[in-house]
Amino acid sequence: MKTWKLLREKPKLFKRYFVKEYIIKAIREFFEELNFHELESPILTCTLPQERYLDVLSTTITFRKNKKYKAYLIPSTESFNKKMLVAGLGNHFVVTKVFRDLEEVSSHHIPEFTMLEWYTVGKNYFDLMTTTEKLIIFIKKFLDKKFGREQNLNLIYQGQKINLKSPWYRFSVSELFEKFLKRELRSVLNINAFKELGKNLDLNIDKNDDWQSIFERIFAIHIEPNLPKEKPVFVYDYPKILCPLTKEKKTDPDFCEKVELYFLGKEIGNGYTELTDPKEQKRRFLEEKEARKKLRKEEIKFDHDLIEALKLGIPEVAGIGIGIDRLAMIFANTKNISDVNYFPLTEEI
Amino acid sequence: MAMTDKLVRGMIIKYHGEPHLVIEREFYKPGKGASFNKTKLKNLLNGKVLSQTFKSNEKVEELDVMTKSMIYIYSDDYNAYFMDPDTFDQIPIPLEIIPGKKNYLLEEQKYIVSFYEDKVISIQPPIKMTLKVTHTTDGVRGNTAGNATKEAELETGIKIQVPLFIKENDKIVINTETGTYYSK
Repeated sequence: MKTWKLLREKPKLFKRYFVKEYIIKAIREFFEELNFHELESPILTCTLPQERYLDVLSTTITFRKNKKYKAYLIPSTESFNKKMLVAGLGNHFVVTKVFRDLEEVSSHHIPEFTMLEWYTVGKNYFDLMTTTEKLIIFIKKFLDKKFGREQNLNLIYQGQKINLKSPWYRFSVSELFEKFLKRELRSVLNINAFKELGKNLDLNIDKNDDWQSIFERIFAIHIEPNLPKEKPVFVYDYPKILCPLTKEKKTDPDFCEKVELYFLGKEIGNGYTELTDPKEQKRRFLEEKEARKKLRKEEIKFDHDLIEALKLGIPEVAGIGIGIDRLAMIFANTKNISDVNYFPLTEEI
Repeated sequence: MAMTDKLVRGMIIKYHGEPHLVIEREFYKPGKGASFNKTKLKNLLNGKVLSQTFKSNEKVEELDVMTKSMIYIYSDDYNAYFMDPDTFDQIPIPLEIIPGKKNYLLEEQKYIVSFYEDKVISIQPPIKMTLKVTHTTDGVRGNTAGNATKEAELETGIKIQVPLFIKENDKIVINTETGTYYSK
């Protein structure tokens, strides 16, 4: 049954959908208190940052007569945020729809979803972790108030108790490899060594597999299910190859200052201390562009404007994106991402 | 060969040369790597469950499992014996691999038995089965608010909750997947 019909019959269900609405209200209130600006991002754009595995949704727009341009539905707002930082906007956030093309719609993947991104000048990825904790605790209290519940830091998702009290768990990727795979991550940064590890773990490895894809599969089987569930988890310090837009660690340039947030082993957010060096950014974009060619991914137009902006000097800054639909799933206790949206695409096709 | 994007729960595939039942399958689309399927597979020969990933477009071998309808005859402490109605051959099947063990074994009833290379890998009772109530108490009057139930023992020995109006010797339909009362 279509959601709108279901709601007409069972108006009590509206509560589940209000969760996302209230989360967005809470986000605006939280950042208002911190004096952040809200940036309105375009949804259509003609250039994009290069990322090898990005499956982008594209369309054609017409300027005047017969002048057609290829345009993309944005997969993130990062490029706009950075240009505005160069322009001098300072601390700001965006709440917007973003898009990814998919082979399949699943419990955690839909092609159109709502994303929060925020950027803090002069901060790094550890500051992002602290602010993320504060924001999500603020959201929890805001929801409790809206639903007339006692305000506390406990929630239950699909039978699992989660406590939001600070500090949340923080593990580096190296620590997790050590703990769950008994391997030193540094010793497998080389593709051949990593393929060998994959084979030892009974993965089907062939010559076309790259480091990124093997990492994701090892993470899904050997790390994700073993992450603690009773508290949210920050995973940080990712190998450089996984982070085309992230600043390297000064003390250890094989790794980047990137963090991901996990609730019950599911990724909710992804942030980093931003790469500010225009030369290095251009080099990594070209590397990604080349990789896309090899993977036979659609060519996407290079964002030279972003490199231009970085050349003029971007402040030291950290930025993070949080998937609002996935967060709403946790707070609404729904198994399926479609259950927090009034008009899920699955009802159309 | 089937492509892994066709993997579905309940499919039996050959993995490391042995038959595995796909018990869970989840699609993964990481931002940083190629998409894949994360699965839980149950080895049908030894019952072991493992997690494995399959890349999109990776090929897996779907197994041609032979299924046969067979009639239950009797059982001892370890095995139940079934007969092929065409050849009258009898085969023992370990109670361990029978869902509900003896709970749904009724003489003369037909069961679906799956074979892989002549070895029994699974047996399924009908989803709905009609069984006689061999023992139950009278429903307690005045206690009928909501869905009041009581315990009843059925002819196979299974004990389930039934509505208060069910009497001894009644024939009732039960759902063998959930082990619950379905209808009278």
